[in-house]
Amino acid sequence: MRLFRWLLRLLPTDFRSDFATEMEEVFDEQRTDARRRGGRTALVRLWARTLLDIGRAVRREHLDDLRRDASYALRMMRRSPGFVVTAVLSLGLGIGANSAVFSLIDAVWLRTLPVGSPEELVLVRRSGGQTIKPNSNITRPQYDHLRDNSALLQDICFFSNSVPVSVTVHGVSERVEAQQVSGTFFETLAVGAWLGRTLTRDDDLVTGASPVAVISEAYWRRRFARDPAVVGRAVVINATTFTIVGVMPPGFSGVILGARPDLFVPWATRGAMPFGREGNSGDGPLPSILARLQSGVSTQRAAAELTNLLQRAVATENTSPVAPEQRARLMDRRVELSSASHGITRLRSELSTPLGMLMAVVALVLLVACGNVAGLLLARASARAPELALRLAQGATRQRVVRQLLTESLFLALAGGLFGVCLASWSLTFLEALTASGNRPLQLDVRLDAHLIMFAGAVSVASALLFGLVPALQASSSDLTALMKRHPGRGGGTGLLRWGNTLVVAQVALSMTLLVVAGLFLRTFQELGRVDTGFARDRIVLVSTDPRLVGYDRERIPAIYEELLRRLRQLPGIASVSLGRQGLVSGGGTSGSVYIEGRAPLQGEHDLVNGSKGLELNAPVFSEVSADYFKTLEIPILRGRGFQPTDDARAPRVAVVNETFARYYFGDQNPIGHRFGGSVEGSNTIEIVGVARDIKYHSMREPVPRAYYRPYLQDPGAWRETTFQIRTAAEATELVASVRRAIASVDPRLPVYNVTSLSDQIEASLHQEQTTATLTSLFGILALVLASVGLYGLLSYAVSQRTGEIGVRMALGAAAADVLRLVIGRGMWLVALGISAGVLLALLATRLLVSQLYGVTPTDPATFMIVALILLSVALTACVLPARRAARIDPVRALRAE
Amino acid sequence: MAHKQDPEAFLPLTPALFHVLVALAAGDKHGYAILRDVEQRTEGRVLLSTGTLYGIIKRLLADDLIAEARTRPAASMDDQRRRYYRLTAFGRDVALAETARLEQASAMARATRGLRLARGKA
Repeated sequence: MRLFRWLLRLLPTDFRSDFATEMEEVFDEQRTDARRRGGRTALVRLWARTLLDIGRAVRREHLDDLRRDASYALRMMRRSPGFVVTAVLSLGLGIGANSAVFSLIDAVWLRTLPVGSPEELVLVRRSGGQTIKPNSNITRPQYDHLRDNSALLQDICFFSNSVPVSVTVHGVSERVEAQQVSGTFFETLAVGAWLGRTLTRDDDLVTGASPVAVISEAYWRRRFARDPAVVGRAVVINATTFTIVGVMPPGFSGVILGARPDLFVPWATRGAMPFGREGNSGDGPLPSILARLQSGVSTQRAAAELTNLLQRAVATENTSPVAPEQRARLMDRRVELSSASHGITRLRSELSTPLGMLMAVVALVLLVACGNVAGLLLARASARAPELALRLAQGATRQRVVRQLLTESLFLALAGGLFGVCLASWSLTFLEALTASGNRPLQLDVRLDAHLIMFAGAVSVASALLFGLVPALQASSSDLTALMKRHPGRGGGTGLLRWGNTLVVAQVALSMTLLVVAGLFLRTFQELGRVDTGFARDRIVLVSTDPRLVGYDRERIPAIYEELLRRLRQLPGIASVSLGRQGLVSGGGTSGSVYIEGRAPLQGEHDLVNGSKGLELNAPVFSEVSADYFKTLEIPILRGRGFQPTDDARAPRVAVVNETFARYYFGDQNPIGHRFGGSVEGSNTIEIVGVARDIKYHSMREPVPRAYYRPYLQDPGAWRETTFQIRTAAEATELVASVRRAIASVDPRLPVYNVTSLSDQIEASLHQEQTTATLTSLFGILALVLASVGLYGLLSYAVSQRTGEIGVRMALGAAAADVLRLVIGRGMWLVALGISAGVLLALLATRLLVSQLYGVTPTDPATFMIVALILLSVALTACVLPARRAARIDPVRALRAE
Repeated sequence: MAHKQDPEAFLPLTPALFHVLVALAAGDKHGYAILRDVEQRTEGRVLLSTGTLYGIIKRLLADDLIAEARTRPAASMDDQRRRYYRLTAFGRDVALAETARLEQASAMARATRGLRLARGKA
């Protein structure tokens, strides 16, 4: 019988309280009957039938309750469309903002690669030997040894980062991203081609003759208009003719998150692609290695096996006698495996702060929205008091009423969630564009998927509990008589008002926090925009090209650059033209160790340090420039001289250093005439001939690094691409077409890319700051609007509750001004409390933002003051309308109603 | 909820629900008595269990097809845990409407060639 009673507990409370006792009695009778008629067998049969039957009843009754609650909730919602629209809009904005930001988190952290069994994929790296480049620390012979001898790997492959290449189709050259991969790349990923075939092991054997390439679906769409005849077509990549053999499926973009290669070419063809950055010489370590484990094999077990194999490979490589400690160091290296199921990237650590912050901001917006709906529900609870009292009087349990009210909240939240998902999906294109712009574009695949729907659903349910529970408990808790007596306009509802006051204070506090954060980011963006870059930024057009992509070797590069400079100078309306490789807040830059003649390096001078973009070399940055560089960009030469056309390959090697460089290495001494080089032995190779004014290099935010400039004619071989700086006599965006024509007249195959103005490039460098400021401001304003609506709703409700009291006051001689003061005073008192709490909350929150701010302190009094004033004025507007309504109350009618 | 004045709105009834109405048409009964009555009347073909029975009773009460009986048997014949149910007038109308519907359906079937029952067969 105990078991039967326990089973009954699974039924809904109402059903149980109505029938449980009877059901026990009936089951008692059935048991007695079964014993009498059929003994143990009949008893077992009865139990089996009863268990099944109760199971069905439990499901049926709960569903039935749910159905009734739902239809009741829908009826209630139909009766008050104004309330429903306000609540759904508030929640939709909150849930939509959260879902949109979550889509970014989903793209970066949660989504697995669109390949077969992604959980089996691991990134393979040998420990030790930190480097800036992607580097597995494993050489090709070692890789071959692992591939041939591992019993725990299904497959293994390696690949480069995406690199720019020039592709010529129909005689038009463009710069696209290509990835060099081993023939086993697609096999390891267990991904097939959409059209044609993928690359295979056989493609590793083709080194020169008829190389092949596979293209991404996005590139096929963009460049070939989805032409199925693209398979078998010849395209020229970096002056070498390749045959396209396949198109990858939509959504596949390799394994590096944030990159979307257009082409995949076999590693064996790298001779046709002088990718300087990739360190792809035959003997060097391979960039990235990916393996697929046998199913069920743990990473620890596989790492142990690969470490053994690697040590064996190292031992056989080093047959020549080496010092025992060096051998020990070589043998000490271990293989590290990390999961690659979600793709590999450095993005996650880079984005964790901004995305975490954004998620916190939208969570606050949602809280404000929930506060709003809770306020609306509290006001409604008061209006519905008689109806609820009746239900309680008819015997409905409190639990039943609470569940009914929560069902209504859930419906509101789900409708809000649906609206939110629509808003989020509408904003995804905007988000994708936002992440893909700026000077460090990210190609993130943000889309409406099951993760996003589940998240929006979960947030909706959580919101329903958050805003629905307190009003439901409040509404069902009051004793019956009080509820029966209470109806709109008759006072009472003080408990509800108390909760409403608390909600408004909380909403104002959260809005204050959000607006302060937004204000600080706006100030940061403004301050960065005002930073003196040290160079002129107006009327300068930038154009990049890379002759190496179309087969120019290092001997021919100076000549083609000279010719390009000459042609560009001949264009009408050009004041000055120069070329220079990097810097000018483009986000990129090259650094190299420097050894000053006669000066010992300082401790840690050439170490790798953690910079803003991961590992960086603690060394000066450098740029190869043409003679007119300083003139074009109006960078003053403070000491010595700039460069001259005679500083060419035949002349002594010279450099111009910046002020920071001069200060760091020479203190107060004059650096002119001193020498330096890239090694201790070569420290006398370059003579310093001038000191240029400091300019911003990587970004507006970072301090000026030590930097030096070299004449590009003295070192043409070290680089692939260059940027021309073209100063125009007037604003000339239409100049771009003639610049393109001038470059094509020198060699039509030359790819022209990154065409922009210098001021746009600086703006792009502030893209993240601008985005953060825009989004937080947007969300701050949203919270402010929601809080104002909440305040207005609460005061309107309070006025309706106090009509009688206000009538009495006016009958006793209170003037309209007194009533205005009474209502506005009450509202502003709540706002003042909210602002005080908001100041404290904002002080706590902004302490976490120190690293994100520039030129403004996290406790900036001006920002706090301005935000408080904005809040006060908006809140005052929200208070005035209900106050004016109160002042117009006719005391006679109010008293008669009483 | 269907309109009370229209018994047709409740049709067709599930067999179990119909049998409960029929059982109560013979007189007021408590749960177990209904259960036994249905079992005997259908010669064991319809066996109601507690969950199904009280699900039906809940629905019939809500739709006013049955009501709780005011009279109880003598204490010696009674169990305090029991409640007794009676068929309401409206419940009777619904049961009659369902009976007519079933008769009509079986008459139509009998009139159909190929479904005529052999003479002498039950």
